[in-house]
Amino acid sequence: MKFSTRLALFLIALLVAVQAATGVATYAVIRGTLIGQGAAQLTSGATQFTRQLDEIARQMAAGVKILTLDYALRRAVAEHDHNTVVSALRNHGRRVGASRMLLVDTDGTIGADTHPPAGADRGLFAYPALLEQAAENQRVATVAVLNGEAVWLVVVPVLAPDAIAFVAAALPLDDEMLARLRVLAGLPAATGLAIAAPDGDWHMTAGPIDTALAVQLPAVGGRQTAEPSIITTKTGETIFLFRLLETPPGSPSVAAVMAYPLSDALRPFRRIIAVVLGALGFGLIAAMVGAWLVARGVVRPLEALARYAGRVGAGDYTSPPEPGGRDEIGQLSAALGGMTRAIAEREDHVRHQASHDPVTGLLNRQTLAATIDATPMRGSAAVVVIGLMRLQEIANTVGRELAERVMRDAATRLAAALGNATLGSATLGCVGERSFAALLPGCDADAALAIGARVIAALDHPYREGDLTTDTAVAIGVALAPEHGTTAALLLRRAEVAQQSALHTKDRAAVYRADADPHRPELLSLMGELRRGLQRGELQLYYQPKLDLDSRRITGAEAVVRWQHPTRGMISPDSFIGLAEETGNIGDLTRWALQSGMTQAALWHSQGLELRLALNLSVRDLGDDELPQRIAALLRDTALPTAALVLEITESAIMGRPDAAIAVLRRLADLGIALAIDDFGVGQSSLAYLRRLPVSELKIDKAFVQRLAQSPDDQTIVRSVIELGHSLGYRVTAEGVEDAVSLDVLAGFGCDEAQGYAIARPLPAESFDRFVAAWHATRVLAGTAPAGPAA
Amino acid sequence: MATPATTGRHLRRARLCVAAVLPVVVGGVPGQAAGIAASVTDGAGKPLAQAVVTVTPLDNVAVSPAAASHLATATIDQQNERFVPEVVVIHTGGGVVFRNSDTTRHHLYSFAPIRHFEFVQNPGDVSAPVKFDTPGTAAVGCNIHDNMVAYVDVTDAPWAAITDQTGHAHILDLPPGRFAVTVWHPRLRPRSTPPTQTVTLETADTTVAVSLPVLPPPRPHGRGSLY
Repeated sequence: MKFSTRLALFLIALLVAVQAATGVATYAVIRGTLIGQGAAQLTSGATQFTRQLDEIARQMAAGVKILTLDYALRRAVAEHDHNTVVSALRNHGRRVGASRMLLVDTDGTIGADTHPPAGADRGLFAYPALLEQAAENQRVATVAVLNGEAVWLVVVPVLAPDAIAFVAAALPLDDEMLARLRVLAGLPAATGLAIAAPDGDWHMTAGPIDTALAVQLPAVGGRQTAEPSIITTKTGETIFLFRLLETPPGSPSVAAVMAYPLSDALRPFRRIIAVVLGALGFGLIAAMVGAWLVARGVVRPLEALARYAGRVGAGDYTSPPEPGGRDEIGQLSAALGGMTRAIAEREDHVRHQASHDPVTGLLNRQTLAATIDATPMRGSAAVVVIGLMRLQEIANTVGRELAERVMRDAATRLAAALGNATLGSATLGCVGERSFAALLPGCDADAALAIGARVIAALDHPYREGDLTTDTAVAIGVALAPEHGTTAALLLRRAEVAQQSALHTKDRAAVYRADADPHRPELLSLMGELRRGLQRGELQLYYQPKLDLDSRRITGAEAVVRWQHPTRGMISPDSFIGLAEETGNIGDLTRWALQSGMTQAALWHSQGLELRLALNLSVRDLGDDELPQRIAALLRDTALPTAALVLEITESAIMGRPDAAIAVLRRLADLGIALAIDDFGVGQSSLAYLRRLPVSELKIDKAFVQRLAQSPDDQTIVRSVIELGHSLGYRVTAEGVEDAVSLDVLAGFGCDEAQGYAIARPLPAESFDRFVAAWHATRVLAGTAPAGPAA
Repeated sequence: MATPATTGRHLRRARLCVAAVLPVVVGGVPGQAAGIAASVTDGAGKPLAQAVVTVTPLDNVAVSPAAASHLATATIDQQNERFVPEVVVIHTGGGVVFRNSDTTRHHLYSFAPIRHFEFVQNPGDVSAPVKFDTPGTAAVGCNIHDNMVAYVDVTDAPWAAITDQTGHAHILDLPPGRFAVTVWHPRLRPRSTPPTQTVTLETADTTVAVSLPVLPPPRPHGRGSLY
């Protein structure tokens, strides 16, 4: 339910409740008051009634007294002149308004009666006690019941001069008398008289009282009710008062009954009720209107504020809140405005923090990448990554805070250098804990490298702080758009790869080369493809001839793997061998190579071409316990002579290997297979260690051989190695012979074998046959080589 | 003067009947002619004035004429609208003289069964004796003045006296013998019999104490409430 509706309903309900409570209270109070008034009226009226009754009776008693003083009557009574007495009584009775006059003798018998009961004897006066009282007090007046009627009875002695008789006068208390009394007493109520029957029931004798009320009388009790009470009859509620009138002993009880219908008592009330109801109704309508207005007055500003809050929630921080004003709503409005501003500021702050590096204040990687992506690229651009390669070392040595200061200082220098170089159009950011990156729009590789040189010059000065001087070892990698990528992420990654390779160069800046990138994505799937390739025969062994320098004949071949990928074309071993070693796929490769190579070599042997096959083993293969058995099995299967097999392991691979690896080598050697150290001279060899290995050959790394003819230093080294090797009993082969001169040099040094492009590149098996045949033919023709069976 | 008692006559009265308690004290009084001293109280023990004490001999006793003489006539005066005295006792056949010493006229009457009469008496008049030939009591009133009431007790008893303010009455010179002493009062409860006691008189005076249940004095006319 809407708030405004709720508020309005609440106000209305409140008002209705208040009005209703007021109305009910008013009604109750007024009713109570009027009833109280009616009751009081009744009570006072009752008192008045009895007083009036007394008054009338007094008058009658006075009249009767006068009668009894009449001498003639006294004489008539004394002389027992019955007729005179009766007529005098009757006459006088009319005067005083009595309905009946009696003469009672002193002994209580009725001597004369103006209205004798039919048929009966006169009998005794009903209330002898009254006679005594009359004799004492000269008169007595009381309410009594005579012949079933309530009458006012006056008894006066006839004194002559002693009481010789009594005159009793009865004034009927009938409807007429009651009506008169009622008027005199000012009673608002209907008044009646009730007489109690001997059995306790009451019946109304006079007055317009509902007989139903008489039924109430026993319930009210035989005692006098001092207070008016309210009783309910068929006709409604009535205020009811009941006064017992004093009766002589022996008389049934007589009660004056006064009833005041409540509807009469409440009649003046009706107008008040009508007015009150009218006021209530009017008040209610006014309240409803008022409540609606108030609700709106409260709700409208709240709705405006709610809309404002909605706008803020949607991100619109600028539109002002309404309403204004100095009241509470205005205060709330102002507070919301303040809150919005604070939110906007914090948001800015957070956004800044989210997009900037906390240490240097430059754009962070994400933001820089986004900026780079957002910059429209016209022509080429370069992404340069500048790394402080020694920063971790610095942090470890002197602490993080200093490292951060170094970064900040570097950022300042870098910004200055870039600003000068690119005239401020570079976008600079901090992309790692020790790396910066910049977008150099419109730069090609040379321009980028030139800028890189400037940057290096700027950053090369060591950072000084107090006594502390730190070198930072800057390295810069460059990736060019669009050649090396079109997205910032790719460009940054490739620039970082370039940075890694730049670390060891003289210039310490390098441009990304795809083929040198060991992290090309295509490599990720390479191993799966390798396995498939093995199954599908995409791999092939190529054989590079090995020349015996002594006989100048081809006596051996080194098998190298070539992979003809269906989509990528020829993939060189450098690309996948290393990865195969890392991922554990080298075993399959080696097995295949062994199988394939030994089969081929066996074939050649069967054809008369007796070559020694050299196959490469990786360090992983040395971990294979079953390798010797497998090779032994292969030798048997292929029927290849054991002496025809040479296994090559690189120098770096063999050094420092665990004993288990050495054990495998020994087992291989025990089989009679020759083992050769490949790429000798560029690793960390321990000759002492070498001596313990079951190795029989050394292959000098091509680094020393490639420029042998031109380099005296290389010649010195090579000659030394050959001599050393020979003195240790090893056979020495030189790899990477590039020209014939080098061949001769090597021959001069006593090298046993040579391998290289000067002789031949690696050739597929079928080409190899022909090559060997041709070589030998040429040699034969030249006369430098003994003739041999043609291949 | 004490005279021998004649035969007592039973005095019949019609009154409301209430029993009387009669303590009798008999004491000796020196002298040959003894007397009876009556002391009358009302129901509350207070001395009762204006009570008529009559003594009737129960034995044959001679009654001297002197005893009868002072009971032959009584005089009732009217002063200040009152009868003085209010109670007299006479022998049957005696008379009552009414004197008007008042300044107003009085209209005297009696409707007593024993004697009806009525006459107007001017101030200063003295009436002829009104004879009462029948024993009993008569109430006399004034028609003009409702408060005036006198009582005439006509008795056959040879001796009678009226108690004074102290409630005492003395009957003297009685011969010894047995006597019936009866006491009557105007306010004796209606329908009660005047109490009688038997006294034996010898040589000494005898005291008789009588308690009479009497009604309270009536309220005067003109005052009082309705009830």
